[in-house]
Amino acid sequence: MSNFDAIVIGSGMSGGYAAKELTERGLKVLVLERGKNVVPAEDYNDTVPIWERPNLGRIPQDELEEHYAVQNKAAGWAMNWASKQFFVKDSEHPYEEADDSKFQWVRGYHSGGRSVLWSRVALRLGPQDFEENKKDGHGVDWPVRYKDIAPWYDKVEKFVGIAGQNEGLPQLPDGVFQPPFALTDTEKHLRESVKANFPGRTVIHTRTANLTQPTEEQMSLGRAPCQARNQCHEGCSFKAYFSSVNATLPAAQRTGNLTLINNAIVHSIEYNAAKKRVSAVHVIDKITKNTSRYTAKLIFLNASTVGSAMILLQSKSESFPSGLANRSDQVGRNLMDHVTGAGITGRLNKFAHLTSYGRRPCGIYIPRYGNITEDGKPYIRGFGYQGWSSPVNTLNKRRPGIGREFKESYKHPAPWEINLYAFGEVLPNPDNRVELHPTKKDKWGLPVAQFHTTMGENERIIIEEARKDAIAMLEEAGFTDIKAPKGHITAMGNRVHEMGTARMGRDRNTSVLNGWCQAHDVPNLFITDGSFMASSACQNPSLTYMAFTARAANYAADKLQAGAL
Amino acid sequence: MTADRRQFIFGAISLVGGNALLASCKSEPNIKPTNIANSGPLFYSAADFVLVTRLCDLILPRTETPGALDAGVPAILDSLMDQWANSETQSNHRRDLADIKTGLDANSGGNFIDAEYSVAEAGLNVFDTAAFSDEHAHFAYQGLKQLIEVAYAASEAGSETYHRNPVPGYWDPAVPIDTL
Ligand SMILES: Cc1cc2nc3c(=O)[nH]c(=O)nc-3n(C[C@H](O)[C@H](O)[C@H](O)COP(=O)(O)OP(=O)(O)OC[C@H]3O[C@@H](n4cnc5c(N)ncnc54)[C@H](O)[C@@H]3O)c2cc1C
Repeated sequence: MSNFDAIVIGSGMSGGYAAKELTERGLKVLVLERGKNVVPAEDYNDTVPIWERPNLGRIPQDELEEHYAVQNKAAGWAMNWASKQFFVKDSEHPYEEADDSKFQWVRGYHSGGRSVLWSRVALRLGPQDFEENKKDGHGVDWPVRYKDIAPWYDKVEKFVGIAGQNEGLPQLPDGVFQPPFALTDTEKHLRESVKANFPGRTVIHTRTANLTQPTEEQMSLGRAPCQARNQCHEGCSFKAYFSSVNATLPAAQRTGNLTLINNAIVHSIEYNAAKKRVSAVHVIDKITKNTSRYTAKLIFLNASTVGSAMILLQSKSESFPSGLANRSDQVGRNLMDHVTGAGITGRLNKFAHLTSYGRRPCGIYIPRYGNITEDGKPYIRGFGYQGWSSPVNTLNKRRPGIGREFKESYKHPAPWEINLYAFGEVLPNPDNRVELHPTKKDKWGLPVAQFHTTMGENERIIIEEARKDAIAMLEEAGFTDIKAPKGHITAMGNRVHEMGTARMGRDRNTSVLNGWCQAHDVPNLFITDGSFMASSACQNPSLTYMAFTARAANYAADKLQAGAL
Repeated sequence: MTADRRQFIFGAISLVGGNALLASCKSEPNIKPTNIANSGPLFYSAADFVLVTRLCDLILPRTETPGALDAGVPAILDSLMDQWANSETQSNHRRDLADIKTGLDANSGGNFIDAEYSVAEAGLNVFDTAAFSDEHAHFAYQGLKQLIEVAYAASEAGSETYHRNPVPGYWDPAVPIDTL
C-alpha cells in the first residue's frame, strides 16, 4: 500500500502528536501501530464500580507473576483489573539484561501506547537543561536552547490541557495552564515553611495533564473536566486526562487525513541509496504474521525510545551496515531514565480537624534547586521531588482500633501524612545501551532487546542527598514521625522515562539527529519519541517529547510542502 | 448464591452472635461474594470462616450504617483468597489466622468464637492494642484488618458509609471533619 505523504510508526504519546500535527497540515498520514486499537466507549473499564470488579479489581497474584513480572515490579501501583489491558505481557515480550545489568522495561502496545498509562506530570525543561551538557562535558551539546522550544511548549500545553500554576521559576518555566488542583493545608504549610527556611526551593502544585477548565477545542473532542476519581490509568470515559486516544488521534481522525493500521509490527525501514532517502516501511501482522510494505515521502519514528532504536538497528543496508542512521554508532546508546529511591514520609498534627473530598489525580512538586539556586553540591545536575499528603486515618491505612470507634475514625481528628520522593537526573553514558540480542528472537522472528545498563555514582549520590534534604525540609516544617529508609535506588527503566537512544547533537559524528529531530544521514527520517533527548534533565519528559514532535512535524511539513525533502 | 452457600454463611453469622443482624435481614441477605460457589466457603475451612466472620463483625459492626457482615466481607475475603491469592499468600493467610486465633482465644477466656460478644470484643481490643504497639508488633493481624477494611470500603455498602462517591465530581482539599 503506498502513496502516503507520511508514515508515523507508533501511536503513543509522541506518535499521536506527530499524526495530529501532520494531518492538520494537510498531509495524508498512515500510522502503524503494533498493538490493538483502543476505543474508549468499548474498551475502557473505568466506570465499573470496584464492587463489581473481579477480586475487587486486583490482578490474581499467579497471573501477575507469570505474565507481568517486570510490569508489576516497576508499575504495579498503576496495575489493576481495568488497566491491565494497557500493559504488555512480559511472558509474550521477553528481553535480556546483559551481565549485571538491570533494566525494567515497562510497555503498552496498543493505540495510544503509554500515553494511556502515564501519571500525567507535565513539566517543561528549563534553560539550564539545554546548556549543562556543554558546561560539564557529560553528553553532547543540545543543538537547541530553551527559547527555541518555548513556543512549542505553549502550543502543546494549550492543546493537551495542563492544570497548574505559574510561579516565575526560571528553572521550571511557566506555561499555559488551567486552574490547578488546590493544595491541601498540609502542603501549603510545607510550601510556606520551605519558602521561609530554604530560599531557592519552592513547593508547587503538580502540573498535571487533567482538564479543570476545558477549552472549546478540548470540548469539541468530547473531553470533559476531571471528575476527581484518580483512576486515570484505566483510561477515562470523560476523556479528562490527556492521552493519544483521548485527544491527538481523534484530532487527527477528524481531519480526514489519517489512516491507522493496528497489529502492524514494524520490523525495518527501507533506505533508497540512490535517492538518499528512506522510502518504505516493512511490517509483520501481529496476528497472521503476514508481511507488508508501505511507502511514503516522510517517516516519523515514534515507537518509543527502545522500540525505535531496535527498528533502526534492524534496518541494515549497504549504506548503513550497522543500522539505519547509525554512522555515528550512537543508536541504542546513552539510554537514560530517572532515578529514585525510597520515599520519605512525615506527619503533621496542625490540620487534624480537616479531611478532603474527592480523589485528586496529582499532588505537589518541588522543582530542582541543586546546582541552580544552591551551589556546592556533591553531585552534578540535580533532582526534583513529587509528593502528596492525606490524613493518616484515611481508609486503607493500617491503624489501631475496633468497633464503632474504628469504623468512624475517618471522622476523628488525625494527623496528616506527607510523602515525598525524588526524581533525579541520570547522566548520558554511551555504555548504557540497548542492542539486538545476537541469537534470541521473539515470536515474530525479530531479535529481542538486550540491555547494558547500570545507575552510576552520581545517581547514587543524588538519591542520598535527596533523602537528607527531604528530612531537613520536613523537620524544619515541624513534621514528626519522619521515615526515610536508606540505601535503595531504582533500576534503570523503573521510572518509565527511558530516553536518549538516538540523541540530537551538532556533530553528525557523535549524534544521530539534528536539532529538528531529523536524522543527520537521512533527511526524510524524523525521530521524535524520547530517543532524541541529549540529556534527561530531572523533569518528567513526555511534555518535552510532544513539544519537540510538534516542532519537528511542522518543520517537516514545511520542507515537504516546499519540495525540500 | 446457592442455597447451601447462603445457609452456610447464615450459619456462620448466627454462630458468632450476629442474631440481631439476621433478624433484620430480608429474605435475601445482603452478602455479595465476588464469585458464586457451589456450597460453603471456597477457601476457608468452616472454622476459619467463622473466625473471619467474628472478626469482621467486631471490627466493623453494624451501626447506623451497614457493617462488614452486611457488606458480605467474609465471603469477599474467601473469594479473594481462592481466586486472587497465590499458594504462598494462601498458606501464610491460613497460618496467620491460626496464630491470631490462638492469641484471641487466650484473651477471651479460652474460646474467642464461643465467647459472649462483649467478652470477645474485650479480647480483641486487648489483642488489637498490642498488635499496634509498634509498627511491626503483629504485622499479620494488621494486614488482615486492613484487608477487612479494604473489602468493606470496596463494597457498595461500605462505599456509601465512607462517602466514597465513585464520581466525586470535584476536589476539596480542606473539609472540616465536623461536617461529615
Ligand atoms: C505508569 C506510568 C506512569 C508514567 N507517568 C509519567 C508522567 O507522570 N509524566 C511523564 O512525562 N511521563 C510519564 N510516563 C512515561 C510516558 O508514558 C512516556 O514517556 C511516553 O508515553 C513515551 O512516549 P512515546 O511516544 O515515546 O512512547 P509510547 O507512548 O510508549 O508509544 C510507543 C508506541 O509505539 C508502538 N510501537 C512500539 N514498537 C513498534 C513497532 N515495532 N511497530 C509499530 N508500533 C510500535 C507501541 O505499541 C506504542 O503504541 C509514565 C509511564 C507509565 C507507564
